[in-house]
This record gives sequence, C-alpha cells and structure tokens, in this order.
Amino acid sequence: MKMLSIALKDLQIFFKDRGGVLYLFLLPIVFLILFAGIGSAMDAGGGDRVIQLPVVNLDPAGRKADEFMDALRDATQVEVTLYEEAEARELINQKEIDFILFIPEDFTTDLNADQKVYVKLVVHPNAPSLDVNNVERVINRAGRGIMLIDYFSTQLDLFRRMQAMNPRVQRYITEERIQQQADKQMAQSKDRPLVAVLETTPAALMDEEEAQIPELGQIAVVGFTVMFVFLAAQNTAQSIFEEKREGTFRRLIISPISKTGLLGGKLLPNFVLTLLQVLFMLLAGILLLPLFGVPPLDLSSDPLGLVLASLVIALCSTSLGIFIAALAKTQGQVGGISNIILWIAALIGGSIVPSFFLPDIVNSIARFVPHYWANQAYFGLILRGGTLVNVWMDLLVLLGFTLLFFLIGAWRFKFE
Amino acid sequence: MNTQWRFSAVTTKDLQVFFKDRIMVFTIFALPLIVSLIIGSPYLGGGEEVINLPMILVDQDPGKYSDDIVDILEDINELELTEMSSFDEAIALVGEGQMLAAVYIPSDFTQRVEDYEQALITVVIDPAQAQYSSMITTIMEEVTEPVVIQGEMRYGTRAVMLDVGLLESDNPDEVTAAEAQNEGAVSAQMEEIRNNPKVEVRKEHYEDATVYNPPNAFSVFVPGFTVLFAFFVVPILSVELIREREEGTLRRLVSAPIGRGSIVVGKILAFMLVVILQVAIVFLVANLAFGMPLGDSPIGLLILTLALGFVATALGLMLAGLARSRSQANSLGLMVVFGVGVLGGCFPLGPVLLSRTEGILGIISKLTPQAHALEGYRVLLVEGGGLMDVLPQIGILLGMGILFFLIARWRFKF
Repeated sequence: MKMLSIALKDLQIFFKDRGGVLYLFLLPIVFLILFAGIGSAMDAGGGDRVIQLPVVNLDPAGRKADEFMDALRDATQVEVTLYEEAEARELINQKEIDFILFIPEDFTTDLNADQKVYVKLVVHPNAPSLDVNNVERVINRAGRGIMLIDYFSTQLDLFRRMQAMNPRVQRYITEERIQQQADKQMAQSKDRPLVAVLETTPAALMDEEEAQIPELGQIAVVGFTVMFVFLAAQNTAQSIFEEKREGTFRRLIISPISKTGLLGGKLLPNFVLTLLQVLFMLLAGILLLPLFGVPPLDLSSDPLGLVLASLVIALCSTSLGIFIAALAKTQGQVGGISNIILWIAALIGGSIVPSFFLPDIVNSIARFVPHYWANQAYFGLILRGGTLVNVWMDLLVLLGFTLLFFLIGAWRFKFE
Repeated sequence: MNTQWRFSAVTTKDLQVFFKDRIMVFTIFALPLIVSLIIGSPYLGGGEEVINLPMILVDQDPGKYSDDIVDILEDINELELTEMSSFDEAIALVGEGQMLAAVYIPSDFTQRVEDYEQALITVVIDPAQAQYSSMITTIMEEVTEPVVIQGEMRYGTRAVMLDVGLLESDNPDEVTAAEAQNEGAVSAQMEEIRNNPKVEVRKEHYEDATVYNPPNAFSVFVPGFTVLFAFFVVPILSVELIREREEGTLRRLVSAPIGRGSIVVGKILAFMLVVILQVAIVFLVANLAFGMPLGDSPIGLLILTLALGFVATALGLMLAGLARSRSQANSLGLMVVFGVGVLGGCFPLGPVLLSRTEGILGIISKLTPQAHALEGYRVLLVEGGGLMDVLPQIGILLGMGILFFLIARWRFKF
C-alpha cells in the first residue's frame, strides 16, 4: 500500500513535467516517423537492395541486343536504365552512378555469325565490391540466357557429328528438329524452371505458410523501441537523484517505510512508465507505419510471449536506472556519462543500425549490453515470427542483467 | 577594464570548468578516435572492405549436380560457407539470427534434374536481416543456372534420340554408346560455356573520375565521429548555463560590471575553442596513426572548424533558452548529438555522405548543420578543395548559427 502511494505520487510528478513526457513519448515518435519515412524511401519494394545498372546500347536495332536487355531487366537485383554514352560518362564522372554497361555495336551481327562478343562493364573505382560481383553475375547470367538455344543446338550438333556413322541420326536429327525441340523446352522452362529456388523463413517453414519479409521501417521501429526503453533508465535515475537532492528521501526514511519498500516504490512508477512507453511505441508501429506505406508491425505470432518479453525488458531498464543512480556521483553524471553510455550501448546492441553493419569486434562486445538481448527477443517475436520457445534464452539473460543491476544498485545505494 | 578583457575572463573560467570534467574531455577528444578505430578496424589493412555473408549449406544430395553448385558457391568470395548435415539445426541458427540464411539441397535433387522434373532448393533466410539475407537467394538463383542448362540439354538430346528410336535399338551397345556420347557432348559443351562463353564481360575501372570517395576509410569515419562528438558542446553548454542560472551565478555576474554580451561572447569563445582543439587533436592523431589525409588547405580547415564551433555553441545557447530544466536540456542535447547527428550522416553507413544521396534521406540530412560541416571536411580532406570551395558550407553554418543565436537571445532569461 505504502509502495503504491509512493508510486502514484511519482507518476503524478512525472506527468506534470512536460520535458519528461517529451523525452519518453514524443521523441520516440519523432524518431520513428523520421526513420520509417527513410526506411520506406530506401526500400524499393521488398527487402532486396536494388543496384542501378546504366546501360549504353550501341546496337539498338539488333535482335540479340534486345533479348540481352530483356534478360537484364528480368534480373530482380538490378534496375536497368538506358543512357546515351556522353550522359553516362558524365554521371560516372560525378559518381552519380557506379557502373556503365556497353553493348557493342556489332553485338547481334557477331553472335549471329557465331563470333564471341565482349560487353564492357565500366566500374567506378569506389563501387562497393559486393555490388560489382553481383552485377557481373547478373550480366553473365543474361548472356547465358540469350545463348541457351544456341548452346543447345551446338551441343546436339556435336552429338550428331559423334554419331556420324549412324544413318538414322543423320537423317532424322536435322537443324529443324533441333530448333523445334529447343523452342519447346524454352517455352516450357518459362512456366516451370527445371530448378526452383524457394525463399522462406524459419517461422513460415514451421507454420507452413507464406514467408513474411519485414521492411526496413518495421525493423527500425523494433530497434528504436528497445533503444528508448533503455534510455528511460536515465529517467529513473534522474527521478531518484531529484529526490536525493531535495532531501525528500531522508524525510521518507524517517517515515515507517522500509528501505526496500522505498526502492520498490521508486521502481514501480518508472516500471509502469517504461511499460507505457513500450505500449505506445508498438501501437505507433501498428498505427503510424501504414501512413508511410510500410506494413504495420505484426504482433500476432505470440502475444503472450510479447507481453512477457516487454515486462522483462521494462524491468531490466528500471533496475538499470537504480544501478546508474547508485554509481553516479553527481546528477550531472546521471545525465552526462550514463546517457552517452546508453546511446552507445544502443548502437552496439544493434538498435540504431543493424548489427550486420558493425564489425565482428563490436558484435562480440554487443553480448555484454542488455540492448542486444532485448533486440534479439523482440526481433524473434515480432520480425522473425517466433514464439517464447525461441526467445526464452534472451529473456533469461535479460533477467540476469536485471538481477545484477539491482543487486549492485541496492548494495551501493546511498539514501543520503 | 576594457570589454575584451572581461569576456576573456569568462572564457578562461569556462575553459577551466570544462577541462576539470574529465569525462567530458574524454568524450570530446578520445571518443571520436576510439569509435573510429572500432568501426574502422576492418579497413586498417588498407585493403577493401570485407563483407561476409554467413550462410549454412545443407547438401543431402549425393549426385553430381549439387556438387557443381557447391563448387561454384565455394568460389564466391563474399559467402562465408558453413556445411551442416542437419537442416533443422541450420533453421534454428537462422532463426536466432546467427546466420543470414540456410540453403537446403534435397537428396533427390540430381535425380529429379535427370528425370526432367522440377527440383527444389530451399533458402531459409533471416527475415530480420532481409536486406542482406535476400542476396543469398539471388546468388542461389544464379549458381543453379548451369545445372538448368545441363539438365535441359541432356533432356533435349534424349528427347530427340527417343524420336529417332535410338534408345530402343535392338543393339544395346548402340544405346550405351549413344548415351555416353550424349554425356560427352553435354560435358564438352558445359566446359565450353564455362571457359569460353559467347557473351563475356570485360571489366574496366573508370580512372578519369573526378569525384572520388575517400581512398582511406578513416577519412570517412574520423570526420563523421568528430562532428558527431563536437555537438556534445550542446548538452554541456546548455546544462552548464541552466545550472549557473539556477544557482544564481548568472545573476551575480550580471550585477557585476560585466555586460550580458560579454558573458555570452565569453562562453561562445570558450566552446568554440574547445571544438577547434578537438578537431585539431583528433585530425592530427588520425593523420599520424591511421594515415588520414589532411588536405591542402589548413586555412580552409581552420575557418570551417570555427564555423562548426560557432553553430554548435549557438545551438547550445538556444537549447539553454528553450529547455526548462537541466535534465531536459541534457536529454534534448543528446538528441541533437545522436539523433540529428545520425540524420546528418555522422554515422557513415557507406562511403557516400548521407546528404549527397538522393531522395528524402538526403533532403532531411541537408537540414542539419552536421551534414554541411561533413560536406566541408569531405571537400577539404578528400577532394583537394580549398577555402573557396567550402565557402558555401561555411556560409550555411554561420547562417544557421546566427539563427540559433537570435532564438537564444529572444528566449534566454538571465
């Protein structure tokens, strides 16, 4: 009861402080809107990164060149744009583009005459190597694609020559027969490729449903939720310090409330606030994301698990607040160094940029910040479509952090 | 006493206060270097950025077609291949985000291709990292293509042979010979396609480019993090001002024979000096330790840095005018450092400055002072520009600074 009255008082104080409300609720939303907008702008449909491939076609009337262009356009990982040579050179000069693909003038003529052709790929020296390899593979594939029939008939031709002594082969396997067979197979392979590559996700495999691939905007919202939840620890620490500074703690200690009760009462309102913040962020992820053309967050895979995870994450943030308040010597440190550490931990833990971007060293440090585990838990439940079964380890680690923070906090805490 | 002396007293005092706070000194001077070193460490070898896409391969097919695929996969540099026998374990690893994707080749893969029935390869990707994991799907689509060509050719020849009745000949030797020759023809042709394709790519580097991205990765990271941490003067200055106001020091200063203008100018000078020192020390260390180029225009660097110091300080003053409490100033200040800093492109996601990218992101980025400071440093350090080339950036920074300053003047109460 006493704990509750302290908690209630604290909540009232919090909602009177407009700055606090701003920091806990409004700024996350501003962040979310900015990055959701950015995310949807960067996502050119689906999760794939599309590489710009400018093409200068010096054989515009050629049939083979046309087929080659079509095959390039069919590749999902590049976006093909036609340019005039001068324009393309100007653009690559300014590094507006990374590549120019030249289809030579005699592309069609040479291929029809069974001559080898070379297409020239001009690469800006700073083009990302991953993109260079990808573009090369796409071009090679398109080149094989348009030559498939030719390769096939050459091969049958070869076979015919091997069977030179067989009159039946010589009589029946004619140019026309070969062409007819090749055409038939080509048509068939369009509808039913001989090898199909199916992309799916672990969750979709389990539930035997179609894979849901989240967009960048959705990933960002989840990461930011974790970041802001832990930034709220700073709020907890501040409110404790405020109490110390004004000496109300000392007055409260005289009152018949135990120290544990005091700390608990201090914890409770901040815990409730943090939970409210989580709820607010996730709701924003459902209601606001669609405004930017990003699908809303899907929280349906394990709602109960999500509630449990949110409780654990919020609790961890609150006990981190006590930890900070116990270790910081001045209120300035609470705001200063601890805040810096929280931002950097969010960065390392994969909340701001995907951990994939960060070097291995950073990723191994990441395991020592609670953000990493909170991200893993939320990613598992929201983005990977998993359930509690998949994330209980992450939650256990978070509980470990919570206990550690609380124990050190309680041990070092001075009510004076 | 003349006015100049008075504000220099304020400046000296503020500098003393700043340098007493060891944590702040560490944040401003050491953190940019430390973070640059952490993020830039993969580039220290001087070579290209190494990107690895970690994936698992579960190949249960004893046949030759899966071997072909594995051979090609092993030649792809950017893949970090781990072979496993259990598909379930592989899925679990992807489900935990440990691997980007797991590729599953079923046991009947070769058999089905030979029977001319559709064969299926499953790529299980981590949806939380779809931007990269989807790349593995496209790579798989490419590497299976030679198998498709072989399968089609084999089937095509057999179809023709069936037509001709070759495969039902009374002479079994003739059938065997024909089959063997078909195999031989297919293999020969595949070899030809692999080694001497009809359409071949010739790659050349475009050496005449006038706009280069930094050849030294540290000239991306170091200015980025320096500018990011330079804006730490915003929370420091605004918290400090509010504290002085709360403690009544400001009121006492105002009543002393020192103008309000002197106090403000003194503070601005102090924190501009901090920023100049920061840039000087960090750039110098980066130059000596990581070989980051310093460009050809020290005067350009100096004036750009002055403008950066001014805009950051003015922003700190403005925040002191707008914030109601120290904790609010501190929180909002850190939002400026990290939130606006990330939007300004201080955290480099690639060699191209965020403000130079197209689309909404580039536009938002250009609204931040950080982006213009970074643009200036990029021109000076990497692109060989001089003072004249960064005048626009200096102008924009000064303009923003004056705007912040005017708002501060309007809102700040001593």
